[in-house]
Amino acid sequence: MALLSLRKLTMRFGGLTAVNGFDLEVEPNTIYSIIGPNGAGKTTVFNAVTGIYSPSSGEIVFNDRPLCHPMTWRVPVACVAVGLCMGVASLLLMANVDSLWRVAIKNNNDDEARQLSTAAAEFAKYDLNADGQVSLRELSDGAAVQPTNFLGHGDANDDGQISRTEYLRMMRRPFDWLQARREALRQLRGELGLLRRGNRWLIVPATSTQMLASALHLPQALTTRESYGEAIALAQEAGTFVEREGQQKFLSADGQRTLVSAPDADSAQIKLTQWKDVAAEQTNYRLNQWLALWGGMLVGGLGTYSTWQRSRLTPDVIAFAGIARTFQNIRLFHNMTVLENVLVGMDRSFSPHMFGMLFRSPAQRHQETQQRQRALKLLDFISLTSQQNHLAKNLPYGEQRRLEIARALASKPLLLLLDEPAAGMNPTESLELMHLIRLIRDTGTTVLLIEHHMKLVMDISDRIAVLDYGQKIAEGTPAEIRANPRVIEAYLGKEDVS
Amino acid sequence: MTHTMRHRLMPLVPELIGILVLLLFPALPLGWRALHLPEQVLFLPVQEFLDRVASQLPIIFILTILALGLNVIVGYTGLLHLGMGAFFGIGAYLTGILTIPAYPFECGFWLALVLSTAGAALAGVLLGTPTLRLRGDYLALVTLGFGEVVRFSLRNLEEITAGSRALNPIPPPNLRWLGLSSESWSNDMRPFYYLTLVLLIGVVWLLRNLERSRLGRAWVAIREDELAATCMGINAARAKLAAFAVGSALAGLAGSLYATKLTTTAGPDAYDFNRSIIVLACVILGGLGSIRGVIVGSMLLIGFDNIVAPMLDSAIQKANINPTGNRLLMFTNWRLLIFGLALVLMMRYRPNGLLPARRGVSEGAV
Repeated sequence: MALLSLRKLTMRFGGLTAVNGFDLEVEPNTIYSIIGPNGAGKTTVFNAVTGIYSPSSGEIVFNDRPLCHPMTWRVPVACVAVGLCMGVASLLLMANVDSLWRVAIKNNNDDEARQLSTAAAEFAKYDLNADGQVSLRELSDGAAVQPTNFLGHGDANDDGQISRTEYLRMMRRPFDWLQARREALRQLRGELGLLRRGNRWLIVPATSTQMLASALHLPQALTTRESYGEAIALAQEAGTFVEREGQQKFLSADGQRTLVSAPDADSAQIKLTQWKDVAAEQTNYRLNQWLALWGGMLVGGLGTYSTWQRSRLTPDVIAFAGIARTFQNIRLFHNMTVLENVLVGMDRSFSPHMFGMLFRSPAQRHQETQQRQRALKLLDFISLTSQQNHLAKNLPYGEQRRLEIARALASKPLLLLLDEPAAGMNPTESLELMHLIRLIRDTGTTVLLIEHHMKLVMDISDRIAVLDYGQKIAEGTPAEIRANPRVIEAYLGKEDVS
Repeated sequence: MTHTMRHRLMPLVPELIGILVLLLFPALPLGWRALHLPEQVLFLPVQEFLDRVASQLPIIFILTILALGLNVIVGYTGLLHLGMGAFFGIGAYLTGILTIPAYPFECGFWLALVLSTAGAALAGVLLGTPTLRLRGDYLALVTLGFGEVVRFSLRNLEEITAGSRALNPIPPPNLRWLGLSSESWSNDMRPFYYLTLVLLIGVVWLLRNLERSRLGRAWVAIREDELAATCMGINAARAKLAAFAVGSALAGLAGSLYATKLTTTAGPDAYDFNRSIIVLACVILGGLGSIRGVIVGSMLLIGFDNIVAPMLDSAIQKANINPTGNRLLMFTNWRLLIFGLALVLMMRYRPNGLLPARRGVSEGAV
């Protein structure tokens, strides 16, 4: 069973096809080399396998699984969560956050301390007795204020006014003297507004009614008098026009309720139009809210999903699956020590607990020492133990190459991709490298190699593939490749018969 | 055992001496007064200097925490962040909202400290998530823009942040079990001094731990070579988000302390671009990615800004050198020029900062 198979791998960059329909089967525990002239697309294959590029077409199967994130329960949960957040956020963006804050938090609180102290003196002027009658004890200026002046809205009627008894009943339940007095006082000062929700009346501070009104783009008078639901219903109803008791009235479709009443037909008509405008505005606003909520949720959820889908081939996920690589131009972490470079390669074998890391828990410390031992063993393997505390950039070239291999090995890969490891090495060094690669193969890691150094390739490879202009022109054992005329042609050019 | 202990403690000697000096410092101005020296002219400037240092050190500690937070993002992870003032402001305003009596929360200093830290971290993650793909200049621009957005939001959300009037009064921390009444926080500089010092030491300890952990290595690896780091299995997005979260959390912590120290959130303009840049200058002056360097850098820069410059100004005024109020003779006006000059000289002669990070040396001891 192949460890890594590339099926019809194609990489296109704009109009340029770097790799064209490349097939590759790497058996476990072998050394497989990819050779070819410069610009044949070898490094592009490596980049596609390690997820730096995602292939234009074709499939990469590693360890019998295509390289991708597994779909777990976390993905839909994350999509839904992000969607909900986006929905609520876009809803909030539509509303006036400042006013909402005032209505929701500030108004319940900010004036209470201030008002209670000043109000205490004023409360003493009024008596609210058990059956809900508010009577005036005394007035400083002597003017008679009838209780009806602040409580009386006449009888309950279709204009959305509240009856005195209803108001008092509301105030009595639950009967809280302080609350009742405060509300009575606020009503007296014109600080209370009434808001009708369905068939319930809410007593809210007048300022918050104003705020709600401005937040919802409604004329304040209407918010205090009518519920939004009623306004919407109105817009959908065909009113019946009647004349009754010297008043022009629009009745609701069932003829039960008066929608609008006015002294003459014209103003009644105007009023009705105004009402309908308001109702239309309301409907519009609600629709916008609805759109904002669902739009935000859709954009958030689908965005998260597509981001997740596109992120399926990131290098770190592929490294986690068991593919490690080195680079053609050495990419060490120059300002870190040799030991740290290897420890970074072991990243995934450390526990991810933030608290352990923050407080350096004993478990964390134990793990750190253990991993350090392992890292030192690896450094021993490439004989760099004595330089463990040197900065990586201060190492000579050949040692940097070896360190990069050790760093790649630190993630315990199943497959190691080496991109021209012998480049720039002298014959002794490349002999040592050959020995090292064999050792790596013997410890159970499969090696996929790009190399120009033919002696090294022919000596250690179990199989070789030859790429030229992005296409595989030959594959086989070193002996087969050496004898293949197409390979010789690719490297040396065609013999001109002239 | 003792040998290894000594081996371990040796690299920490400068820190230990620093901590000792700072712990004993408040005794100095007080002890000076206790000596009841005759008020000679010679002693007056010294006394004045010590008093000013004592009153400004808590602010310096707080801004050092802020600089350490920025160091996580700029120094370790290598993401140029120009909007740190915003997170400082978010921390300060969250503390204001959570503690002042005008709002129903009034949850007290300690809970507010935790919540503002967490809130700023959340804001950092929210800023970080969409900007992960940006690098270098682009990220710098986005963070700079975010800083301005936050400042203008703070100014325009009148109902929430009281606009340019600032939220006050922020009550002092509750430490009654230590016998500290609320008056002692305003009358005596010591409670705040020790509170901020202890928190600074705590932050340094946590950052040292992080620096030597998996996450710290991942940050530096990303700074050094992001592609190689991801190929080694580091989830760069997550590590960057963690850097943003930790850095912003520290900024939030600093903001919370700052607001509590001043007893007011000090208006949106205290959290503008200037603040971000001066903190960045502290980090660069001290040495990117070096905790010691950042501490020294912010002590020098902010000490110069808050202690030396005002003292020189008052000295000029006292000596009556500048009776006409000529702007060129006011030292405060030369402040930024001197900052700039110092940074230019730094870049020329010590491009890695005053105390550059010495990776590997402390590692070898463990």
